Amino acid sequence: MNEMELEQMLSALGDGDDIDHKRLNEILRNDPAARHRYLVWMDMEVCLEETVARSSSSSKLVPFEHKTGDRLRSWTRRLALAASIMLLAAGVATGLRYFQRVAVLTSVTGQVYIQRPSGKVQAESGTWIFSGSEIWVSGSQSEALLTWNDGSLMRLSEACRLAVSVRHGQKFIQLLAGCFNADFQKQKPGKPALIRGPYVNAEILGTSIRMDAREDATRLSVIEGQVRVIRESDHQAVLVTSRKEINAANGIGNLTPQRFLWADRYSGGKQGGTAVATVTIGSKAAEPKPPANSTPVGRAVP
Amino acid sequence: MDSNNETFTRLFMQNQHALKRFIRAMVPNASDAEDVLQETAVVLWQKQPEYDPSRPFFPWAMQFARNKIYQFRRHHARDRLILDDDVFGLLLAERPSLEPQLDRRRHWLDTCFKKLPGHSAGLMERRYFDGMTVQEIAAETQTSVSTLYKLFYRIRDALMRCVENSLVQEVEP
Repeated sequence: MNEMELEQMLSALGDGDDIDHKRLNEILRNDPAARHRYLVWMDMEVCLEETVARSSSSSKLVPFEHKTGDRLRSWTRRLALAASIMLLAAGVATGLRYFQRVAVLTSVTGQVYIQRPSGKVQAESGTWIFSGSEIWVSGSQSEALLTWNDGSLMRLSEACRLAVSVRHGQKFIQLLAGCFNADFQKQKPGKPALIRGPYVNAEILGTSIRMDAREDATRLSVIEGQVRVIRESDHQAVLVTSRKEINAANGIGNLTPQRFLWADRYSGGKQGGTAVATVTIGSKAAEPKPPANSTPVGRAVP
Repeated sequence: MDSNNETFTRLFMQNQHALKRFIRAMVPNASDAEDVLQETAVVLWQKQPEYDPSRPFFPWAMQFARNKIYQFRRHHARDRLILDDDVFGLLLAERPSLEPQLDRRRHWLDTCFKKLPGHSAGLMERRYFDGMTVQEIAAETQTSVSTLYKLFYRIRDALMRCVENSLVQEVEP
């Protein structure tokens, strides 16, 4: 068995790249040692996610050092070196940003916990939220106000469990249980906040919207701007524009935007002249029990 | 959240990584494995009333994970399926006997990871913490994809050797 060949295939596979399936199956079929290596490798892949998160420190990725001096001889290589230095500076800055917190709990009432790779910690007002954290509003009448670095606000009600992360400047939010209300500042171009909830995924493009997810359906109303909605069950996608709403059940019927007439219920979509998205998932009066279709697992990064 | 829900959630949280590891071994594409895990979680949540707390959680949850894996294989028989049926069967049969060894490996992985040089640890952070693909890291670091694959191979190999040495020392102190 060529271990490196096998590992390259497994690594590419993990990235979703095309590999020679026939060759992989041939190796695994004929070689028990390769199967052993495969099982150990796959297990290590998942464990490494936890291990790296636990061990993550200040070590940062820097461009590789070239050992040979002759690489500097040509002008093109000198230019490449200059570009590398600039990339190094940008990389360090990006890396520093990545390991910084993405939000803060500005207000905490009752029992609120943060699930981090190192374990669950009780949150209090002022607790910082790092990318990849899970927030769990546990006790009855508990509540938390999450303020993102860009000023977007999320109010998490009791029994709410939410996974949040930021990747390359884009927010990923996954509702695991319960409900939340949120006011989003206009998001960066090309980087909509992605919200994953029961039945539908929503891309917040910098608009004013309201979203209600219930056990049997999710209703999304756009006050101003536009939101792309993708139904989970059949991946049907629809763009919902101003003053329209959709009602998405689990794979039932078409996602056809309908005009709504009660816009006055959804006033307040603007704050300080900045377009915001107002998202409500679930209802404040929801039972403490998470919806039956909610999933208690997952990272916000898709 | 009532105490039953809390207990169930706690049990799930305790076991979700073990479920994920099992699913990933049988569904090698990371994103497909995540989907199967999500679907398993939904079923577990729906079946929660049927769970008998006097029974161990993991074997109960595993039966649903296994069903979801079979379901995934049925639905993706022609497109995304990677492992042939016979190879899948072999891996499924061989993994349980490997489980005690995998447990010990996990135990030593943390220690061995801390011994990695800073640059290697940084690369691993990009891959496993930031979730970047090899192609993305290659673009960011201006390194060729094949060079990066070799580097990752060396890092993983170093980790594996470290873990294996630790296992040997564990047996022969």
